[in-house]
Amino acid sequence: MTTATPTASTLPYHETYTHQEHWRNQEDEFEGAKLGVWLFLTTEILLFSGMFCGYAILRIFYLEHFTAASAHYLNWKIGAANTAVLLISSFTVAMSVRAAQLNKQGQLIINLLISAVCGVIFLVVKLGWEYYPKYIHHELPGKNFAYADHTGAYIANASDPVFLAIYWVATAIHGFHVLVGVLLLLWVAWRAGKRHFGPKHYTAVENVGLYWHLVDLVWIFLFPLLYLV
Amino acid sequence: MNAHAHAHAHAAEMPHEDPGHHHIASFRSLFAVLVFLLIMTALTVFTAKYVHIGEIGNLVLALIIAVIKASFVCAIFMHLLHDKLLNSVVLLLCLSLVVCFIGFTAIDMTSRGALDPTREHFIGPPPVAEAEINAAIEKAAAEHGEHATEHAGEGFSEEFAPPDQPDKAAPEQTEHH
Repeated sequence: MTTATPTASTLPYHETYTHQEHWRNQEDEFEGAKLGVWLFLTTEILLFSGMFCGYAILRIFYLEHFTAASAHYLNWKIGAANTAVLLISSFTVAMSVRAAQLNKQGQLIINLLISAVCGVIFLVVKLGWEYYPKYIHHELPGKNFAYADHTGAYIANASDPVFLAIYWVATAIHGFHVLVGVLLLLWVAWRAGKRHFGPKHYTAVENVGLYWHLVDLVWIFLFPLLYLV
Repeated sequence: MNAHAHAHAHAAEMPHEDPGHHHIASFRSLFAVLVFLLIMTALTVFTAKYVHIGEIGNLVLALIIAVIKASFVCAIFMHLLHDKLLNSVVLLLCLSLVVCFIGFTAIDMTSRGALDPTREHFIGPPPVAEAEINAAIEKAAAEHGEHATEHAGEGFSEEFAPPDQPDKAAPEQTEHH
């Protein structure tokens, strides 16, 4: 069905793309790749569920103290802003899949780049407004940690380092996923610039998009659990 | 004519050769989901800050809103609504295992003493090393200057105060909580 025509060399990659020999056709290849990514996403969910389980145990131990520690150590406005940034980036990723399906090459690249920029904004806010001030205020559990009662308004609890530990570990592993996602989005955008994707072939756009949505999903749960309640 | 009709019928039975026929989400539906997600984010902030229905009530409410948001992301942004059922089955199987994982752990954490009262003390927050943490708070207070010093020693809520050592506790300690 996908025999080469004399004009094949002038056509973009996504028009002339042929599936690997071990697949029956491009449709099977696409669906197989997508199922593989979904299976990978389940392992990601299980990775994060370990942290959510740890959070549940600690929350059972220190129910009210976590609320107090959350209000004292974390600024919900920063968390809410980062939530909005990730939600917008998820929307633009979904739009980039749509653009690939409709063969709108310019829209495809712009949406991928906006998504990558959103990921970078998320990381800059996290590092510059959360991790760095927390580190210099001795709020990183470990050797450097100090019970922060210097403001006088907050009564420290013995469980504060426990709350901060689950905060740092969960957000840092999530942040690492954001970093990987940004690199993947830039890779897809670079390939889109070479006209690799179109209605008949957009496997990488779809699958990197699925990964990016999972990163967003994890944050949808982390934000209220850490910053709000 | 006959051959043409046969070819046509044959083409209809053939599986699709490439992903070109897949469902394309409309801009309107994607944008509506984004607006909905942003509104739900505002709602979860509002309920956490201004609707006080108890620690557990607020926790459950925030989780319900998060699950609603996540469902829309999965169904529309991740195309599960118009996708092969197998992908949804994979996700839901995984989530049901996560529910078992966290749910059974929570049951264990909260009910071990009910089954065997002699084992209750094996589960729960670890005992607090009062002296060590008081020393750490005083050290922090000393490093942060005079303003902090006046609060040193009252660094604990009453739950962690040693009941048998009233001399160590600050006089105002009973005021908190």
